[in-house]
Order: sequence, then structure tokens, then C-alpha cells
Amino acid sequence: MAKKRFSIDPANKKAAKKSLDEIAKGANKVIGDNIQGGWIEMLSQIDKTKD
Amino acid sequence: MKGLILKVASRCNLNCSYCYMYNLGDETYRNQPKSMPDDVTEAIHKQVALYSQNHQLNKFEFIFHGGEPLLLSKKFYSNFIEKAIQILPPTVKPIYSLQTNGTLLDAKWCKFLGKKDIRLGISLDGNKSINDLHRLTHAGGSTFDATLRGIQNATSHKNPIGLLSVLTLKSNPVLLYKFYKSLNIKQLDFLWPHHTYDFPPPKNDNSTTPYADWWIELFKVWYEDEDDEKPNIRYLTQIIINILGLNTGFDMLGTATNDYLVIETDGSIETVDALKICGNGFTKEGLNIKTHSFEDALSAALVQLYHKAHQNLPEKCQQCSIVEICGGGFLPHRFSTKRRFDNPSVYCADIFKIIGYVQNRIIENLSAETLEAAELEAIRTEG
Repeated sequence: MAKKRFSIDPANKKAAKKSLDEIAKGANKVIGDNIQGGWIEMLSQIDKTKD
Repeated sequence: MKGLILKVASRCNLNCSYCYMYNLGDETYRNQPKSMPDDVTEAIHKQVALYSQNHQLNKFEFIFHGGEPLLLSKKFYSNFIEKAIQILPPTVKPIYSLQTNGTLLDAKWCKFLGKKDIRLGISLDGNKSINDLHRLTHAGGSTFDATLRGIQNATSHKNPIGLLSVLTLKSNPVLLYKFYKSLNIKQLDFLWPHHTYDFPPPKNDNSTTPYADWWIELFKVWYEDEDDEKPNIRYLTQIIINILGLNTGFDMLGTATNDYLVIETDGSIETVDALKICGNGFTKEGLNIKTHSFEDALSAALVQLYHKAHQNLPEKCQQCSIVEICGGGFLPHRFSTKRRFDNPSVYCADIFKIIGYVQNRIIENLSAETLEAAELEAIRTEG
């Protein structure tokens, strides 16, 4: 079993994307909308990969 | 390097008591030109063109700063932008922003800045009683009404603005949040008051972590606000981003490098201006845009220290469970004369508590499946 962490492993983009989708709902869409630095584009690519 | 903070004016029409440029020990501004002369702007354009070409950049940020940048004429900015168009490679998109106290921001300035696509950052600490605790004129008068007029001018001219506040424990974060929403602000950022181990934050009788308590109150009212039009709060959003492992960070948090240089009116190339709180002339490393390249500057000791502030950390930070999220905080807050930057932040306990609170709250929002995939466990903030 993998060691637990306090922040998501930067290599685990799929988990980051799933987490962001669950957090940035409703009014908290503002959080997703304000992620800078090309991450939105990178995370959108993850959407296209199959689980 | 992503961009430059250009100190185009080396004087200010306000006299804020906490200002690191003029009121916390650095006196070097007295020997600098009041405004940035042509030979310095010319050297900036040449160096940026060269750097962008050498590093194949497709954009470059120019952040006009001061002092008060609106003390300069509109002609200065027109010339600067015109020259940038002439000299930068066509593949490089210049991005402009300007940080102002807003007191001189009239309709003409708003139209001009909108036309030139210069984004605005305006400094205001809260309502009149909070703002005027520190942000005063040289004669000691209130600046609130003038700043508010500036914000209203910018809003009515549809200039996108970000509001920058220095956090004070005398403010009520819930009321402050409501006040900023009433101004229709969409981007909010709060700076921690600048302190070091030599100049520590004042003790608080009610809490050992008063700043965390303040931030947590703000986080609660903001995160739970169901208004779709609510503002972004940069510091809090950034904590969430770092918890998600996206590592974009900035100089207050995270693991990213800090990718900006400062140019003073005399052409000095310096690292982050808040390091001026560490002593008179602290940021001077003998570098000048007229005689040194950005590559020279980026290899200078203090510039390197700032750029890698989240990597080169004291032992206590390296052993800390949340180092990937906080990155040791903001470099100037780690300073002591005795140990230089080999200290955790003077705000370490506060930062740990606010990050812990936010992380716990984020985890509550995640499904069991996502939590498992993310391999996350809650930070224990008590006991």
C-alpha cells in the first residue's frame, strides 16, 4: 500500500484532476478558473485519457 | 525568468507606515533618480529582446511598480510600449501590469491604461478605519476616499483590477470580505505584514497563531460563499493548488522557483524588493541593466537565494511534513542577522495551521475513491 501524503504527488496528475473536479464545483469553480501556468491545459489533456 | 518588476518611480505620494521601500530601514532610494530615465528603459528593451531570443520565450511580463508609478506621465508608458513593439522579437508577447495606490487614478488614466491593455493592481487595506491605520499621506491624512475613487473609476471604465491588501489583525476578515465584495472586486490578494527575527511580529495576547486564526476565518467565509461571482483570493487558492500537487507556487508558497527580477530607476538589477527590510542597501549586488546581462544577474548570490528560496531550506523545513505545500514561506520572513536565512519563517506556526485547516477542509470535499487515488491523509493540526 502506498505511503499516505499530505499533498498529492506532483506526478499523479490524474488524481489532481479528479480532486480539482470535486472541489471546484458551484461557486468554487473560481478556484479552478484561477489556476495559472498552463495547468488547466495539461489537466484537460488528462480528461482525454482513459482511467 | 518570466518578467521584470520595473521601479519606474522611486518616490511615492503616500507615506504608508509599513512600506518596505521607504519606512523599514532601506535608504538607497535617496540616491536614485525619482523616475526611470530613457537610458535605463532603452537598456531594458535591449536586454529583454536578447534574453527572449536566447531563451525562446513567447511572452514576457513588464510590471510597472514604484514608489507610485502614476506619478509618471502617460507619455512615459506610451514610449515604453512603442519601443517594446519595435525592439522585441515579434514572437514575444509583452504583458503589462501596473501596481498603484489608486489615488491618482482618474478617468483619463483609466481610459489610457485600458487602451494600452495594462492590467491594474490597486492597494487598499479595507474600509476607512482599517485602511487609514497605515496608508496615509505625507501630511498624515486619510487616503481612503481617493483610493476608493480610483477603484470606482477603474471599475466604471471596465479596467480589470486586482486588489492588494496588507493583512492587519485589527480587521475582521468576515467584514473585510463583505466590503471587498461590495466593491465588486474579482481578484484579491493579501500580503503578510513584513517581519523578520530581528523585527518580529508583535505578540498577541489571545493566540499563539493569530494570523492563522485570521486566515481561517477568511477561508471559511470565502470557501463556503455560494455566490458564483465571488472573488478569487490568491493565497488561499494557491494553498489548494499546492495541496493538489500542481506545484505552480509563487514566492510565498510552494516549490516553484521565483522567476522575476527588479530594476530600480538607476538601472540596478535586484532581487525581490521586500528583502529591503533586512537592512539598508541589502538588495544591492552591484548589478546594472546598462552593464550586466540578465544571465549575470540570475547568477548573483542574493538573486539566486531568492530564486531558489523554496528549494534551499533550513533543516527544520526540510524535515517538515508540509514543506511541499508551504515551501518555507516568503524568504524575507526567514531573516535574522545571526543566521541569515537559515530559519523557518517567523510565521511558521501560523502557516502550518492555516495549511492544515485548508487541507482538512479540502479532504472533506473529496469522495472516498478520489481520496484513495490521491493517497491523501489529513494533516493533524492539534495535539
